[in-house]
Amino acid sequence: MSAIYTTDEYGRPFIIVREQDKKSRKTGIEATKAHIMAAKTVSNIVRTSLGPRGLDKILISPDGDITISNDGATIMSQMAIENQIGKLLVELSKSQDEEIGDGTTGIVVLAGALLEQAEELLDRGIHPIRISDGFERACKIAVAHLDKVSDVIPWSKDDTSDLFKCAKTSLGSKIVNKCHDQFAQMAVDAILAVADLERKDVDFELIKMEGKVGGEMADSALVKGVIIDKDFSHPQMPKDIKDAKIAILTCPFEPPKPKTKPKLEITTVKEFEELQKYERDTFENMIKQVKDCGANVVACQWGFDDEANSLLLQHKLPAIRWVGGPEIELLAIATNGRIVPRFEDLSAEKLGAAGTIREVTFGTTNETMIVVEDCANSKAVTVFVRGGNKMIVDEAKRSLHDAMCVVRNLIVDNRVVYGGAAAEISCSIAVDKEADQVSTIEQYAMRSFARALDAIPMTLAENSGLPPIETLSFVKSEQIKQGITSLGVDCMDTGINNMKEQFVFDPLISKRQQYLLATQLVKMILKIDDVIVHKSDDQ
Amino acid sequence: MATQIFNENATQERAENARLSNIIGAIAVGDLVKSTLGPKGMDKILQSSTARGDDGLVVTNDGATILKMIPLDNAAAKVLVNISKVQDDEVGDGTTSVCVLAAEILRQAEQLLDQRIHPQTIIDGFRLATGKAREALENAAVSHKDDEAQWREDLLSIARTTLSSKVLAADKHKFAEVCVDAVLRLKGSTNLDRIQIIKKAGGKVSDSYLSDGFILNKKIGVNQPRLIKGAKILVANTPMDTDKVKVFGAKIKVSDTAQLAELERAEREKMRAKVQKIAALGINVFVNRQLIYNWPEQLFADAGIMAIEHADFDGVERLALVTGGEIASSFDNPELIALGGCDSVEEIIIGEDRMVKFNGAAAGQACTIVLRGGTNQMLDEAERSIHDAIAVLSQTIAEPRIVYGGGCSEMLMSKAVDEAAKLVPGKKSIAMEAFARALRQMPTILADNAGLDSADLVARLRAAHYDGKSTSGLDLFNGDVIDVTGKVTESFKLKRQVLLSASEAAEMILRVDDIIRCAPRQRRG
Repeated sequence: MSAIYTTDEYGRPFIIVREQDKKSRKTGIEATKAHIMAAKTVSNIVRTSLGPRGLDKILISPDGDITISNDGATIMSQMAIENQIGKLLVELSKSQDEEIGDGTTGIVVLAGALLEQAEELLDRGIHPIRISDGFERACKIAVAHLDKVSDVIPWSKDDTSDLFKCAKTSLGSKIVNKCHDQFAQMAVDAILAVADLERKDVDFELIKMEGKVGGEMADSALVKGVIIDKDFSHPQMPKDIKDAKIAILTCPFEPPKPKTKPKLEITTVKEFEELQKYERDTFENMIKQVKDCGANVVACQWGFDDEANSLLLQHKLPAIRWVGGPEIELLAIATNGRIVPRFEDLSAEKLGAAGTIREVTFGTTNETMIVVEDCANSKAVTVFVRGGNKMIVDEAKRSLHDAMCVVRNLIVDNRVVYGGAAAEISCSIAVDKEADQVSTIEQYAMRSFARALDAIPMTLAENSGLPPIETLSFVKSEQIKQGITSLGVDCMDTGINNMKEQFVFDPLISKRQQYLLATQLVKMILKIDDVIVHKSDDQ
Repeated sequence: MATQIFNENATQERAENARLSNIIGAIAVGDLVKSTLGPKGMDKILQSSTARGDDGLVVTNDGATILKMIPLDNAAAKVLVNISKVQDDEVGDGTTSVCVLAAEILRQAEQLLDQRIHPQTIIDGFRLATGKAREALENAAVSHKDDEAQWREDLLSIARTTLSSKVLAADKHKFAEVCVDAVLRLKGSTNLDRIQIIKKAGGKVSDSYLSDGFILNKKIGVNQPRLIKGAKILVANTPMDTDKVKVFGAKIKVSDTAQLAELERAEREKMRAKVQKIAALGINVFVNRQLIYNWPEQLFADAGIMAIEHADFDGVERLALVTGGEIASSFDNPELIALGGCDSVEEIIIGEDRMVKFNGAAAGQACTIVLRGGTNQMLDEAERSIHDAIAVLSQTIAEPRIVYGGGCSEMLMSKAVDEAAKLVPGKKSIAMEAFARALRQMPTILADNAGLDSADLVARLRAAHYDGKSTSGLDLFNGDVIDVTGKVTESFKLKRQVLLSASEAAEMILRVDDIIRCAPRQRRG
């Protein structure tokens, strides 16, 4: 057993770190550099996904399932990173995803670039804390500058063209850019349908994503209503119901099952007969209660007994069973109905209303879905995504979610900055300028921060097949010469560098969040100077 | 240099390596199924690693079936398997074509990547090409739905095209008739469950037939009539063993045997009452999804009712469709139960097995195809072929446009793409030309599989198309270029789906530049 130990004044040893051979320890600069190396490795992986011409990654899960994605957060979370610093970066992109929903690749690339710059500074012998102080100051300047260069984009319920353009920017890097306009429009329409414009809030619970393989991406559509991946409980029920009144139930069409396990003992023939009668009556009562309140469709969270099913058919009550929890809630919201937990509570005003309910069949395998349309409350919508294979449908769903987040962010705060890394270049210029006026060592760190911001346009240019250094210096000099902050990298080779004319926008809050979170994480990593790792315990 | 950030068993392939591994994987899958394409394609024997004996052995020509059974480890290969499966679910046939086309597109893309063209540029070109190809396909598609005779002829021709690459090729005319008749009975529905396929080993393949009645693979209860004319049928799903008390937690507790006997009698009385209720409906045939115990069976026999037990779920649903009855589970309101009816119900014998046949059903949507054949493998493959044909036909009824096969539509699309490429500036046009080449590979493979001189034939076919004969295709039996109008017909939906799925999958695979394989999950035990 080896241990780090020291001796007290009487010469007795006492142990500081026990069983050192089972632990690995790194200290000081060595630890910081190891961290930087790890972070760079991770950011190098997602780097090539940045921008409209970025590429995708295949991720194979431990069970052999395949995910193909361009979304930073998805890639990071499915990579199964073991390294601690790597995990921090995963968390970073995840928090960007949860907070903003888009820009998850950019944030990781930025953090990686910042750490790369920090490494150079460390080599020059600058203390990590001074570096992080410098980064902090630079970040403040950059964020303040972002506010300055941001533009307010006007939009209203009738004029959504600018929202549409932002959604397009977000979708540009994804595989769905095949049906670019259509998906962007779907994202805008979906968000506007459910948005509460007074409170500037968007409830994502009201937007449901359903995917079904088959057809092509262009067949995807936004349904103003609810799609339930179920079929009618009895094959002979009508498949198309007009002016539906829906009873939404969370109680099973089955004999009552009391929660306290009673012991019902049958001792005589009479009791036996009475029980039979009771059973029959219960069923009939259930049906009667549903019928009496005026419902003509039943959606139930639970299953039906065979007899109940047959009775429902006989009473011309089409029914859907085993509707999932979130779906039944959505159905209730969409149809303005109330979820009823007991048959006795059913009444006419608790029923949901919908214009049409129909069962739709897909392909040759008899797969059906139930589409509820023209609902009383148009607030709930369903995005129905189609595509040639499973991976493409999954990726399209993720991309659409990102685009919807962008639109949501704009509804909350309608300021935008220009994409194509125009904002980064402009911030980099601003930080550089400020840095010259700082008299302490932080000056170096601030310049490095500016270099790190330059990494974004460089990566964009690289991914688009343009010469990175040449492109960056050209755009930068043009920005200074012309004094226009919306000049960026022309990824799509259109010949226009002004992102204002190309309509490439990013929400301001998304960019700001990226800078703040990335700087915060880098500061945290720079502060660590000692790592003790327990080697696997199972030996 | 790189710090280990993954678990030590994880692997990562990057950039060129990732692309190479993807493309090679996809091409390998394409090459695997390539030889089954077309009327002269060959079959594959698949031996399962787990099931032994007859169960594990499959002989097939169906792309989806082949790919489903091969355990693949390559990510791109899995994408191809997935599109083939989707093709199967969506259209039913063309599962081989979709894989082969995707693989050929990727093969062309590989050469472009070697020339250092950015994958996104290639994809842009491919998208333009797909759009053009689709346009050309749509322009070429024709519908004869209004002209009934011609419409039926089209359907027959589609069925023949589908069947000609399968084991049933020898009797394709007969089976095409069978399939078309079966599908037309569905009256536009795409619910293929309504067509039942019964396989019985023995006899010749050509002994197979479409039964105008409905056949249920079940036996009639003992001592019950074997033939009923003017049948009134109740289709039910109700327990006829012991009718349990369903109230939760109910338990029977007796203190002496006399009470037990009484209770038993009560139970029997209950069952008798149920049978009487059913009998009172005035039926003479009773089909139940669940078991019928001997006691009620005997009661039914006494009442002169034919009772059939344990008809599976599909059987019950089909029967309800055929006879027009409703599946009932409660019998207290006789006025609400819709009974089914048919002219006669009889027991028949196919091979050695007794079955029940329902003749002259009221609503004749469902039907039965009886397949005969020498071996089980043969029957299985025949069933798959029939299924493919029926699936394609039912989809064609929903989307009535047709296009011509025999490499005709591929050449048509290839020509359109080639012509469009000439007008596109920049590197995209190279990608479009590559796409056109990939499309031309399809007739090439068809000819190769038939043992013909593909280079010569395809060149002649191409010349014919540029000469304005836009309905020229390959005659693989005589090795000639002919006008395929009315000879080799395919569903427009099928061809479109093949084109779109293949290009979508190829695009997806091309976009990838990094493969990260997580450490496989450790399985215990």
